[in-house]
Amino acid sequence: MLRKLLKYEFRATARLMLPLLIALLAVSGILNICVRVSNATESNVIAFVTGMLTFLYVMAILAIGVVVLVAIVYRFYKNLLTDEGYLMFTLPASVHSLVWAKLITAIVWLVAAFIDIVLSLLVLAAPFDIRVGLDITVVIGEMFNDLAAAGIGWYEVVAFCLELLLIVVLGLAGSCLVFYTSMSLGYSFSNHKALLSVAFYFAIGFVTQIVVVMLLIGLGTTAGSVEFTFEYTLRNALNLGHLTLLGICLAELLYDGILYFGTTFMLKRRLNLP
Amino acid sequence: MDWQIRDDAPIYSQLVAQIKLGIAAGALSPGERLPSVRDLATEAGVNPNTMQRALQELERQGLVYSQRTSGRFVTEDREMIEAAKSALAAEQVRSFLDAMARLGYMRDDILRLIEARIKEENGNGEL
Amino acid sequence: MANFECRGLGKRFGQVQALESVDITVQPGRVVGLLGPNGSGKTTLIKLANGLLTPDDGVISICGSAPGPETRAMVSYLPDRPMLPQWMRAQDLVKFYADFYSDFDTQRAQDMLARLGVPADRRIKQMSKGTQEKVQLILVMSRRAKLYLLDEPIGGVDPATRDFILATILNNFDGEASILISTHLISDVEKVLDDVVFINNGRVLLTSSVDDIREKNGMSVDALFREVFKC
Repeated sequence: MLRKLLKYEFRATARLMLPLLIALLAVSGILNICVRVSNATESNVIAFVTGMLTFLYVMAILAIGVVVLVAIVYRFYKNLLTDEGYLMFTLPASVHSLVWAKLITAIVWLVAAFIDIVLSLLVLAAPFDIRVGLDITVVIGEMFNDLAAAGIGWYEVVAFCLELLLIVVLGLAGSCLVFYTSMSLGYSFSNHKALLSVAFYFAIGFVTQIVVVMLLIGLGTTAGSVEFTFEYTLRNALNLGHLTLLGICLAELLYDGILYFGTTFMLKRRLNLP
Repeated sequence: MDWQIRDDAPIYSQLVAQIKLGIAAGALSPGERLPSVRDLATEAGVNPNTMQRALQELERQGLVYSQRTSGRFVTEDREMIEAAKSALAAEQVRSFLDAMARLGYMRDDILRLIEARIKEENGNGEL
Repeated sequence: MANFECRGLGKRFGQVQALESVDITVQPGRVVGLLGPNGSGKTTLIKLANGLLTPDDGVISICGSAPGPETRAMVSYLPDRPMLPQWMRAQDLVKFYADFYSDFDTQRAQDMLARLGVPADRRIKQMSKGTQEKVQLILVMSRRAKLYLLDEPIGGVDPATRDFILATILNNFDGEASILISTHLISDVEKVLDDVVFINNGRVLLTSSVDDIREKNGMSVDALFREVFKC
């Protein structure tokens, strides 16, 4: 059932997202050529066009940022909390798969937007000379060699990258889930649904901050009161790094878990479609 | 058939009466196969359960019989059809007499009125 | 086993008691009318049956199970409002229904769309309100469900479409299925109902078969309704 829901969720969001992502790449490609041409000539027209395209490019990046955010909030609201909810909540699908479909789609588009912006920057900066691109791979290869010489294997680098990726994905999931939770709380009321959602959004943010600060204070005092016998070896330093990153993952997982439970509970037990 | 459902009586009994009328008047001939319950219900714009109940009532009265596999048929018993027809005619006459009685007519006056009417219609060459 | 049953059902919205100790049973093969004035609790009852609301008191059972993903596969629900995503085309929605409901009859849906002259390649938002209602009804009635929950199915349509809708409802359900129709336009649906439930202020006033009402009271359900709910 989740697979089918994902299919329709991507179809619904791709209508908006794909053209935008492609447009950004197209603008950066044309801009690249224009910059070159305007550097080579003294034409005012080309300079003007380049200026306009630069403006357009910046706007396109902003638009993607805004649209992704709006798409995440609006899809959840429109598809589950307005009249369309009558269709979605009477499908033979569980509330869990409905929320997962929204969450997975949102994360995929967030990641896709990020990759798209990075790609567009690369296109913008891309020289006509292909050899520069090859040079980058050489540099990366040398970096690995240097790390290996220092006693850090490639698997360490991969592990760190995976841990960072996990932190990013869990973080993205968390920022989507805050929206979901506050909306499913706000829309369980009969009146002032939108206003209450905004209030819940800030309330959750406030509570989260207090908890994080208290945790950090607690962690600090514990760490201060315990005597460490820490040998400053490379191995230990790497382990401490892994431990810290995994600790952050765990904290995010807990945060996401609480919000996910909140969202699904509200949608299951307190759903109140208009 | 032309189905007319009034508001003041159970729907199934009206269906019974109308099918009976159809059989008596020859709109449904003896031994004719009836459409399915669903088709009849759709035609009359009524619930299939109600049509089913009406047909069962007609079966109980013997005007319709069902064969397990091939459906429902109008009875071939012409005497029974005649009896149903007479009963309907008697019913019509009775309600006519009731209505005339309410208007204050005596039996003799009623007979005279009927004779006059028939004569008139014959004169016009309509009967 | 009844296709729909609720016992002691109650639902509050804040201080408002929307439903109170409601008992209704719908047996297989029955077409039941849920009749009451606006605001009597009809829609709340149907939303509860779909699991769109959670009851405060009492129990609901659909073919023996509480409302949930399993019962939704057996229930075909027509809400009293447009629920179809505006950006989808009629043909997308036929595929959508076929994808999610194993009891959906694509051929039947396409036949009905063609018969009612609905342009299948047009988006919902480009259709008139009446056409949108037709598409929604066609999708709902093209399922071979155990229980149809129809909330005001003939609310805003013209008489020709209304007749088509009623004929569709009668034609498309088999002997094991049941239909619960909520409406306040009784004279239009009276002939297709087996039983009626009168509901007012969240309470059941009367449960009877249509023919019993006509036999006992010598009047149509519509006339009785007008008498009971006289202002």
